[in-house]
Amino acid sequence: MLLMRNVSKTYKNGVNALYNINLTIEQGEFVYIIGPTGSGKSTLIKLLDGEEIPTNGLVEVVGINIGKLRHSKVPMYRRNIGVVFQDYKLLERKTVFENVYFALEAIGTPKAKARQRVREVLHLVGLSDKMKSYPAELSGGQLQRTAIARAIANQPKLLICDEPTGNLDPDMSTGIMLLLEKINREEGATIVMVTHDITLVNQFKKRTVLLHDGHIVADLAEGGYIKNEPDTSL
Amino acid sequence: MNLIRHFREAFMGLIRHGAMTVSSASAVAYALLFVGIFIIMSINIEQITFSVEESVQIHVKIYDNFNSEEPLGLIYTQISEIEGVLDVEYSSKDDELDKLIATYGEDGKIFESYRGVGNPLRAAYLVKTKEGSNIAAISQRISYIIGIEKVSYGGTGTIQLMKMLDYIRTVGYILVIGLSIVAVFLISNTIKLSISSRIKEIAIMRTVGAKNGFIRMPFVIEGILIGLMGSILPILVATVGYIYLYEALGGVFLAQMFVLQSPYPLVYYTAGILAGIAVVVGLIGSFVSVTRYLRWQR
Ligand SMILES: Nc1ncnc2c1ncn2[C@@H]1O[C@H](COP(=O)(O)OP(=O)(O)OP(=O)(O)O)[C@@H](O)[C@H]1O
Ligand SMILES: [Mg+2]
Repeated sequence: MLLMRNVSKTYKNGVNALYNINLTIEQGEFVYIIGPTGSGKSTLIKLLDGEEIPTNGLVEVVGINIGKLRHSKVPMYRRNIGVVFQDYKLLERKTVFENVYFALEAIGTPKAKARQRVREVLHLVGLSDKMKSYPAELSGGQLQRTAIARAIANQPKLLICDEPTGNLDPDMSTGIMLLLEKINREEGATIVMVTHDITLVNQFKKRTVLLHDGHIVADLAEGGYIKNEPDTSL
Repeated sequence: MNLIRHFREAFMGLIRHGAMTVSSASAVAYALLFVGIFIIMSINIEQITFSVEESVQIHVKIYDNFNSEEPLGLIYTQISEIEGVLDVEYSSKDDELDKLIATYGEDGKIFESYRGVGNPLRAAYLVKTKEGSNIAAISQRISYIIGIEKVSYGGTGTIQLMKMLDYIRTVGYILVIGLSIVAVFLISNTIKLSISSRIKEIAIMRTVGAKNGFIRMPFVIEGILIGLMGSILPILVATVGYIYLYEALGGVFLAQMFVLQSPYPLVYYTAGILAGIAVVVGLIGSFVSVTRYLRWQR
């Protein structure tokens, strides 16, 4: 469902962020992308959600060639994917319910259907009792659950998470991981998760792709702790 | 259903930047106020020049010994062939005498004794031109034709006036266009501010896959509303003002020859044009800003 073939990315300022990336991910997989800072993890995600265009090579998600997507076609493509950010990106003046509803309203989901789906996903992420709370009244874990609820509201085939546990303590991180596993299982979403958190990677073993200086240096189907790796200051 | 949402968002934007909204709406108001005055003036000038042009004609006196069928035909052809000539009309010696008598009213009767073989007046061709401005050049050319004794026309004052009105109109058009551009610019700046306070919302809308049109709509409505707010005062001033002026002046300006246009339906047209300009200016201003912002990133 996700295919990257000979992909490289050079930013306008001349920085080479990715070199000759080849990656295939099947429907329903859960994959970690790990690597030291500046190794190109966020760049890879931006290629997947259509924010950036590859300098060379092919990026294809759900059969759509994202590098060739016209500006006006990007929105329709994005309805196939959900994105979760480290900093949540929630609207302070809206409640948890409204934040999730906002995403469905923005793509023209009928009112009644949208309201029902918001309750459904908030139940799924365990925030049924916080629907009327504002972001300022929530813990980091609850904020991230809200962001995840928003990302999966439209039932995306692919859920992309850029360091979803980056700002959370270990307990909260574990909670988020259990939630993502549940989403992977129950909603059938393919999950690509960028992380720095090696403890999580070892605790919840999954296919792990290691990036280093813009190259894929390992792709471990079994996942787990990376041995013999010079730079494990992840 | 979405429209309600877009309008709600637009109103929130207007209120959030109340001061900016008011200042750009009032700038639009200044611009439209001028435009309104110009429209009313322009339509009246159109009317004035129309009636002046009607009265301007070249009077071509013909020597008596050319006042017979064949030479007259020749002169007629030559005048008609001059570029810019609209109409050539013959006026016999008797016709000329009638006109002379008419200009003196009751006292004109004394000229009756001229009538007949001894009539000292000349037969004439009355020439109308397509435009008032080239009347001097055409007169000059007519004066070269053999058999013409004298060429005269409605006085340089009239022509000067017409040239001046033409000039006013041109300057007016330029100002209207210039002011509209300024209004577009101001609205576009206000919308930029509105966008910058919603960058996060827009970013989220883009990541979840909202179409550009959906993101754009509230801002475009906001721009149009600012334009319309700015048009209220100018519409009132132009319509009420002109109706009042028309009544006060009794429908004429300066002299009896400048008959003012009746306020109805002129004021309705003016109000419509002003509102139309307001909408277009608001639409363009906001559209430019949002589109530029949306294009800036994918
Ligand atoms: N918009 C950009 N313009 C220019 N260079 C960029 C841009 N974004 C990232 N880079 C550069 O590309 C390289 C890879 O950056 P990227 O953000 O993908 O790394 P990362 O693996 O996500 O790092 P981190 O773990 O710190 O988030 C870095 O050298 C970075 O400076
Ligand atoms: Mg990053």
